[in-house]
Amino acid sequence: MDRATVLEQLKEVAVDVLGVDPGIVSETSSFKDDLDADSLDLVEVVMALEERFSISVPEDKLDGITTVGEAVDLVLGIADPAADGAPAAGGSADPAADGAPASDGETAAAGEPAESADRA
Amino acid sequence: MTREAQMTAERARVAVVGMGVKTPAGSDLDTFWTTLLEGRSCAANIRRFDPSDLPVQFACEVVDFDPLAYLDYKEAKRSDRVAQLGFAAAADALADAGDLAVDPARCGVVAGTGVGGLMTQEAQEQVLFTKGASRVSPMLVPMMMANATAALIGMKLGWTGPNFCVATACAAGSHGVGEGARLIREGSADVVLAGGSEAAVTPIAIAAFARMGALSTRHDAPELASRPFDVGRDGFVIGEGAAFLVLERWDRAVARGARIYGEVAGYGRNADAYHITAPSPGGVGAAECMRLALADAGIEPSAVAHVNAHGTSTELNDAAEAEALLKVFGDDGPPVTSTKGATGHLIGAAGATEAVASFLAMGAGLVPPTANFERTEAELVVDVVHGAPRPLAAGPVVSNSFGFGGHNASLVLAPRT
Repeated sequence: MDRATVLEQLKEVAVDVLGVDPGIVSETSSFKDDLDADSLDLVEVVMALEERFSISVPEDKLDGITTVGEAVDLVLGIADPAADGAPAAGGSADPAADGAPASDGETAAAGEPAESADRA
Repeated sequence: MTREAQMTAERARVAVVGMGVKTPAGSDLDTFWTTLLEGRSCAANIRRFDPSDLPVQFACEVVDFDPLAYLDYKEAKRSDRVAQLGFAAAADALADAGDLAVDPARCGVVAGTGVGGLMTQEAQEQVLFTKGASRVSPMLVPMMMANATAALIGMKLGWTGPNFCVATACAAGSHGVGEGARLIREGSADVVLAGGSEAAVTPIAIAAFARMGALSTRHDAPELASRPFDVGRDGFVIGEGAAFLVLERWDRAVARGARIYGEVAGYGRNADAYHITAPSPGGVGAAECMRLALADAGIEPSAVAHVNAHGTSTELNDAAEAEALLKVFGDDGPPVTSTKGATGHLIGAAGATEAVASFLAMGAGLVPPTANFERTEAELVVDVVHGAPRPLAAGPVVSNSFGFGGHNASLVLAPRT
């Protein structure tokens, strides 16, 4: 997994969870100041990344995350600790995940807003 | 003059200056009123999800609602349908009220609901059971909590005055309007958005109400299922929706030249203290509640021109309410209608929706017919308007709501005088 892939996935998540234009999401973007994301949004963003990369991010790792670049670092550090390109395995991998990136933000509380009450 | 009478004389009057609805019968006042006058039921097979595993497969849904017409993407995503519907109705009511030019600190919100964000709760319970606790959304609590609608309205408008929800099951909408009126009377606010919302057309809610025997099972003809006071009634039809009214201190509304629909002139609320779901025998609790509302308005039962009944189409409610009406108004009582024949039972939004219907009735001088009503039991003495609208004499309307838990609320709503 490379940095560009993680950033692309993060942009997609930001569009889905935060409703922002993907063009404004860069490594230097501040979640709070540039993307209008609060702490609850950050949890949702990270949950979506967890699904996409089949990883598990410990709660305490979120504390220092303020920029998109830091979130990319966090994902890379967990998904690819040895930087060998192989999928993560063992303690940090999410045992419940099937290994395939989720096709959409299933972690969002209720799906697309226009149909936010819909049930699958 | 007694102290009580003095307080009554001096208390602020409460004008109704704006109304908004998001209901199965219409999402604007004109459509809503037209549907009521037609006496047409909105019950139909459930569209939003596949109900084929459920014991009841029809409901009254709001089918033409786009939350993005009222909320931005993220606001909509972070709000359960109950809050989306509630905010939309409140926004419509506010737009209907004209230029209030009011200090936001003097503006309050009272929002009724039966259960709050049930759809979100059900969806996230599925996540918990299938994916585990680590996948439960951090937005679950803010989306499911019963006060979320009141909070959203306050945040969107920047209104910092009194803001709370009332959760009294099927009576919550009337309690919302009544408690909102009290905020103005007591001087805590000059303007209040008061009403209710509900979005509980969900598998668990339908399963649960069906297990109680509360829902109609008229599967062969859902459009005939909600038939308040009719001898063939077999339960209510669950509905969803929202209604809000803009209440304003009377002198203020008059001074700014507001269009005034009428007045919240009286409010009664009490408890049956009898049974968690069944009405008290003979409708004694409901009767006392109506008497409290009439006394609060300072009028005699004979002055009432019309009653918008709770009229759920359940066997027990409608029989008890008819007995209560007989106790209060005698055997020559005012014409009665139940809006629920058309809308189904909007639970925590019902009372507010029916308050709107009552003001529209006063404005038009017409009582809408009770959808599907043909005839009632011989022993029930109640003049149910049916078949076609009936001319309505000028005068106050009593609007009733009675909730599971024995919570009763009656409003006296009066035309502008």
